[in-house]
Amino acid sequence: MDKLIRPLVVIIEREFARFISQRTRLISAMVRPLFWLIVFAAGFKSTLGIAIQPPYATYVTYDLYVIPGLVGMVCLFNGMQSSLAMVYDREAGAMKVLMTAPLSRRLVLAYKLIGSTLVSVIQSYLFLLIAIGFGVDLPVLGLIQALPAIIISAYVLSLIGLILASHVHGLENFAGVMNFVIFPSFFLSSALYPLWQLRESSESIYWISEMNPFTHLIELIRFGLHGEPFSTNTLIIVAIALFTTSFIHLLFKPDS
Amino acid sequence: MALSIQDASYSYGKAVALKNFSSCFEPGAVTALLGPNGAGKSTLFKLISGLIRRQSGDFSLDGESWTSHSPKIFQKFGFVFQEPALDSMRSGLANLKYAAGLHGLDRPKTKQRIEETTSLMNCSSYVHRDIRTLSGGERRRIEIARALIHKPKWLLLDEPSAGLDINSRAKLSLDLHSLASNKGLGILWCTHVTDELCPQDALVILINGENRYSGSCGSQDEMIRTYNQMVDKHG
Repeated sequence: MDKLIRPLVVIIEREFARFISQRTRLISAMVRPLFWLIVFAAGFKSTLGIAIQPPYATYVTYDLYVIPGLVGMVCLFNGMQSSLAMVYDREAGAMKVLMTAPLSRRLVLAYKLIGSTLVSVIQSYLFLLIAIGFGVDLPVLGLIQALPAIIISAYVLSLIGLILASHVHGLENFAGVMNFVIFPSFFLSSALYPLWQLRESSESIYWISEMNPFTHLIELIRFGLHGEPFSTNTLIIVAIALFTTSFIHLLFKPDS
Repeated sequence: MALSIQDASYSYGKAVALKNFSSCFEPGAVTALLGPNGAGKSTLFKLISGLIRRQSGDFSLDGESWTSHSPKIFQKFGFVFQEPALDSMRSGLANLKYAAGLHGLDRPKTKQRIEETTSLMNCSSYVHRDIRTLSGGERRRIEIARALIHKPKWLLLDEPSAGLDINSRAKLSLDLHSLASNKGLGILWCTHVTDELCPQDALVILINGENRYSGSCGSQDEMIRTYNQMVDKHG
């Protein structure tokens, strides 16, 4: 059993050690969504309320609406940064140690995903606690009920990051990919505004946002935070994520 | 536990790196895989370690063949790569613990093996330091200690002395040779310099991807002469 558990433990330990030792990463992981919450949402809070729409039973303030999107942002950035670390490891040579370990590549990558997911989940809850400290009225039970949704979202976004890392050669290229992935994913989603409002302005942007996987992850978190932790969408996302994980080792060529 | 390679070929696009390479490496001794730059040594090393996908050839350890990546077989190898492969953001100790964990060693066993391998490689005094603060020679010793952490049967080294000064190279060579003789470890040592080898080492000379010589030379001078002859003839 140790042959399977110990590698998982050291891979997770390494993910956390990197996260904690990179102070700027730690700080920016919190400052980025807080900036949106304190500055952006504060501006809109007084001018914009969100009309009644599921899962909300009543009108909600903008800062409450934007929280799931910002949790998604935390997971999105961490997923990409974890993959960036993988590109760095590949360039610096440290990846070779992992690739020559007596473990199947499928298992190695699954462990990397679990490690990255755990870091994302902890960051997300840290952010949620800080948000409560800033006066956002989040339901306490919702924080617990949202856990499966946050885990699934963090996992899927780490998986997307890993797929990108498998195709990107060189750190400088990865920075470009991050810009082309993170910003479109975030802005073309329901993170900042409900999609029905977007539809009133542009039908095409609405459809792009509707098809954006990030939208569905944010909605998963939103429904989780407001008492609906599971839905058919959850099952579909989990099935796709597990299916993709079982083939990820085929994408990740050791020599690339 | 002999390491055998039969008819291994590899090309990077149209450039042939390895051509029908066959050889059998004996355990408990140092085998030098000697060849000039671009001879195909690192390609062979990457094929054994599964870092590149095999195109042709049969690789076996004690008669047991393995495919590109076999966890069971890889338990028996320790690899030291040509380019530094340490996590420079962590200490030497953290790197060793990480490798031990990847091989499934529990905490008490990890502690014991770290003490043993750092003592073997004479790196106990600086293993706690950050990798960034270590010299090239010190890093190399930690890399070798890491490769030995799980008690492999074979140690594969791809130009481990690259970038080291003369004294560091001589000390490293001495330690590696004593590992083979005292611990019964098989060592496959890719290099292009003969002065770090011993006269009793088995020699495989690789030139332009082909095995041009297999055997051993009685003396250092004979080794240099044989190598130069092969390079002149086939290089």
